[in-house]
Amino acid sequence: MAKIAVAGKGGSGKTTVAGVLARLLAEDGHDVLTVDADENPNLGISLGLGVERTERLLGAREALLPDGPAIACSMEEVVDDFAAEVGERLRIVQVRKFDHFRPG
Amino acid sequence: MRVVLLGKGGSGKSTLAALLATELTSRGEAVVAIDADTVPGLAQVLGLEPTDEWHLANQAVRDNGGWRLNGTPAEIVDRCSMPAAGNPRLRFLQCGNVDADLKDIEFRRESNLANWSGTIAFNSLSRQYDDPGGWAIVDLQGGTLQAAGGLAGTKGVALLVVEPFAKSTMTARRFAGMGQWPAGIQLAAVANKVASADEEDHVRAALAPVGVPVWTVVPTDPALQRAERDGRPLVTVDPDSPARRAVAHLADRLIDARHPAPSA
Repeated sequence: MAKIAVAGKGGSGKTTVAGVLARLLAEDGHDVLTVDADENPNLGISLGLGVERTERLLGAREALLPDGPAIACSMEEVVDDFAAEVGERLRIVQVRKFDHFRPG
Repeated sequence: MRVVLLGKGGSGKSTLAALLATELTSRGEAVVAIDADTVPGLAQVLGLEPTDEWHLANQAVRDNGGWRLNGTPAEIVDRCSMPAAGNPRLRFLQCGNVDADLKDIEFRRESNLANWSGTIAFNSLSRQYDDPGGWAIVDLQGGTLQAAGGLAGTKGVALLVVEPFAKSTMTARRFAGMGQWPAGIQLAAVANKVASADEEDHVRAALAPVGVPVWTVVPTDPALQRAERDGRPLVTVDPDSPARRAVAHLADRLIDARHPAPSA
C-alpha cells in the first residue's frame, strides 16, 4: 500500500490535487481510499460527489470518541463503516467536521 | 467596533483584513489588527516583519485550576501589540505559530508553558477584545474550527469571505448554519476574487437561501495579485485599483453598521 499526504497553505489547491490524483489512480485500476482530514472538509466536491452528498458524509472520528456512536474498533472497521463509495475502486472517508457552535 | 473575517482557507481573509486596516487608518481611524491564524500571515501583508512569535506569551495565569487573563483585554492589547512602522494609527497582534510547536510533544509541558499560556490568552482575547473608539479587525484561520469554538465573539460584524466556487460557498453556508449566532453579531458576506457578473450571481444565489447579505463584491485585481506574488505590503497597491475601491466601499458599509442611520 502506498500512502500519499497532500499539504500546503490554505487555498493552494491541496484538495483539488488530491481529488484529481485519486480519480486518475482509480481509473488506472488501483483501489483508492481518500481521507479528508480537513476540519472544514470539501474533498467530496473535488471528487465529484456534489455539495449535498459531501455534506452528508459522516465524520469517522466520532467512532473513536468515548461518547461516539461506536466504541473504538479497528481502523479497517472504521473505514468500512464510514467510507462512502465515490466510484469503482474509489472511496472517501471524512475525519471530522466542525459545523456547529460547541462549548469551550 | 469588532470586525471578524471568516471563510475557507485561501479565500482572502488576511488580504481583506490588511486592505481594510489600511483603508480605515487612512480615514483617521485607530485600528488593532489581530491575526488569529496559527500559521500567521497577516504581518507580511501589513508590511511588518513576519515572525512566528507569540505576542501573548505568559498573558494567561493559573487561577483556581483554570486560567484567566493577566489584565483586561484593553490592557493586554496595549502591553503586547506592536506598532506598525509608518502607520501611527495601526497596531498589530498575533497568536503565534502553534503548529510549529505542536509537533513538539513537550508543547504543554513546563518548558513551553509561556507559549501555551499565550495561546490560551489569545483565544480568550480574540473572543472579547473590542475598541469602542476604534476598530478591532480579527483575522481568523481558514475553516470553521475557530468560529465553532466561539472565537468570532459576541458582538460586531462577522464578514464571510466567499470566492465564487462550490467549496467556498459550501464553507460559507456551513458558517451561516452553525447554529444560533450571538444576537450582537451581524453576519454579512464579501464576494472576493470575482471575475464576472456570473460569478457574482453564483455567490449571491448560494447565500440568499441562508439569509446572508452580500455587502461588497471585490473583483479580481492584477495590481493586487502582483503585490501578493512579490510579497509586497498591500499599502503599495494603487488606491484606485478595483480591489482597493471595493474595500473602500466595504469600509463605508462597516462605518454605517457602527453608526446605524436613525430610522425615519
